[in-house]
Amino acid sequence: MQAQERAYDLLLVEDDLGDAGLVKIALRRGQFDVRLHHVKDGDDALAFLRDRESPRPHLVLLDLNLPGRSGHEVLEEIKSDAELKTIPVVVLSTSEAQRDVVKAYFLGANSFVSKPMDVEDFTNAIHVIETYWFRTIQLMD
Amino acid sequence: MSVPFRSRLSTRVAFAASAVALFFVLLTGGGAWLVTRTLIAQQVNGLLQTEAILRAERVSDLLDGVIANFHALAANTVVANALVDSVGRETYLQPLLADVSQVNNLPAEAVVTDFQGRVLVASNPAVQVPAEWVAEAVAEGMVRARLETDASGPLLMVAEPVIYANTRSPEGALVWRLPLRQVVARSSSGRGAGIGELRVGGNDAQEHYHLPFGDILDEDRHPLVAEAPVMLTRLSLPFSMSVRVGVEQAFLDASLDRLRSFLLFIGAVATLLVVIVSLLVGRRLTRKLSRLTSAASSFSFAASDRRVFETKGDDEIAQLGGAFASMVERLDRAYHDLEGRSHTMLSNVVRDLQRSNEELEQFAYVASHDLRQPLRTVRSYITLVEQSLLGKLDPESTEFMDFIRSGVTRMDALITDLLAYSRVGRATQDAPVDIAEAVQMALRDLGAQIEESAAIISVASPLPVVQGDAGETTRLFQNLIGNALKYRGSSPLQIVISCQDRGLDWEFMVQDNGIGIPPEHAERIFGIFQRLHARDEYEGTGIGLAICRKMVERHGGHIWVEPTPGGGAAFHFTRPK
Repeated sequence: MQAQERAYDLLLVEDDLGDAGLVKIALRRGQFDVRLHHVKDGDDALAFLRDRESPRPHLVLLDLNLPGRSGHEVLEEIKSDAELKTIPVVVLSTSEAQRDVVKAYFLGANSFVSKPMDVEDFTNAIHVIETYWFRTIQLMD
Repeated sequence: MSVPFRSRLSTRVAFAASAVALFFVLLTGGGAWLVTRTLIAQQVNGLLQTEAILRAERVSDLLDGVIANFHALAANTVVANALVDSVGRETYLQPLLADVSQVNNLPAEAVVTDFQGRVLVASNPAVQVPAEWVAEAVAEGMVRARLETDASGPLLMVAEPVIYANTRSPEGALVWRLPLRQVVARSSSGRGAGIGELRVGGNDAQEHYHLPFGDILDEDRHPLVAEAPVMLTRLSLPFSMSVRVGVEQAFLDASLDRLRSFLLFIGAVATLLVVIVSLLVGRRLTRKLSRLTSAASSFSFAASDRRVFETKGDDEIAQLGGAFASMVERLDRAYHDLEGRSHTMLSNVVRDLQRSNEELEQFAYVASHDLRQPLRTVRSYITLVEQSLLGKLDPESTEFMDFIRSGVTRMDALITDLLAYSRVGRATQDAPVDIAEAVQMALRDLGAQIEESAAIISVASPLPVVQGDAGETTRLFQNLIGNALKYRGSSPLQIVISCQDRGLDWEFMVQDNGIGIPPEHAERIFGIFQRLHARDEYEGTGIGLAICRKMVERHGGHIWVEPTPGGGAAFHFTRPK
């Protein structure tokens, strides 16, 4: 398949190594060739995105609960940057609080996904995200 | 506010002023009455005196005229000659005497006697002459008068010596008499105010004759009497003769009656004037006071101006109004001061409350996010370990892994419940809630459990409409009915939902015949995460009743449990109307 022939760059912004590990496992088990770039806070994420040397990611997975600059701030920064705002950002958060969801969409998040408790559900959620953003959206190009 | 007429200040002032006025009116009126009565009595007396004098003068004028006529006759030569000329007596004197007897239209009778008093000629032969008395008068050569009486009453008799020309000595007398009643009759024309009489004293001092001018003077009926003597210029009388004039008491009384009416009228008018004036003055005073009273009783700090207390003038009432106004101003200032301070305090409290709420919200957020993240990590990696060790673990280790997983699951449930507890009363909208509807919704949500337990649920009607959040109210009933379903006993489950009017509150009751609650735990069960039973007996975190209590107390009600006769539990809670 066309989708399987190419590789996708994915930037994961996540300070929790456990959750980052779960994402890695889910991606490894998925059907896409994904190059995972993992940063642990907002500053590193923005530095990566603005670095000419580093690849422009096809998707950003953003946790909200970050050390220092919060996920919402990072989201706002990305979506107010003319260069970066076309990169799709999926907020992946433990929070189910309505205010976090509303705020994320208000700041320009392309999607909001709560981290499921169960590992199988978690893997499935990552696969749904991959499928949507790497296949469905790409087909529309 | 109206004061009864009797206790009004104006009434009292008018009453006091009227009493004082009445006192002075009586005092001056009485004085005037006494003085004027005396004056009138004196005036009437003077009037009577004058009348008596006038009448006496008239009588004396008449008598003087008669006396003068006879005196002239006595000097007439015809009379003197008659003393010696017995022929001439009959011829000339007789007709002359007959003529003069009608002197001044008075029926006098005249007699000529000799020096011994023997009658020579008489106008009327019936006239009796006291010869001795006449002889004495001739002997003295003096005119004499005496009082005679006959059937007509008293008569004045006068003996006039007649001078014989040749001897130039009195040789005889002209004796005449005049009925005094006729004199009185002549002089009684032109009647005055009073009733009069001529009183004539006889020779004897005790003998008096009363000759009335008209009506008879009765001293009992006419107590006011004036007397004037009849004075003759040509003759001195050996008896008293005076005119007495009297009036009836009624004459005086009429004047006094008029005076009394006049004084009473003036007194009444004066008293009335004082009453009216004092009423007006009193009303003026009390109107100001009433205005102050109504201003004070309807005064509102927000709407009214303190100028409502200000009164014109500089009297005590105006001062009172001024004092009110300044008091109100001070009160107003104090009130505003207090209001400002309480506002500050209140806004401090509100700010504290808001901060505390924000902190609570932050706690809830942290709990939901930060506590669950590591929990998920544990749970996820346990699963991954299990997967990688699949088939390699001994049964004991597999059991341990199950304990770890169920602990994590329970921890997650606890966090979820804690969040639910902290969210009670947040993001709710209070509106009228039909309890009957809320109960039906709760029963619908619990449908599966109700079917499973085959419970008989009866809902009393009518159920009221109260203020609250519809979702929360439904959850409240859902928790209570859910508890009844969960903690059921061996007998068929019966649940009764009812409501009672407790005056200020509604009291709701959810009663079951389940396993019941030991009285010693009746209070404990409403605490957070308090459980009475092992998890493997009845599952649950123990947050349900704590949430119920928070919902009930949020509206100012309270919740408690009572044992039922069948051993079940009856949950009661109140909700202010």
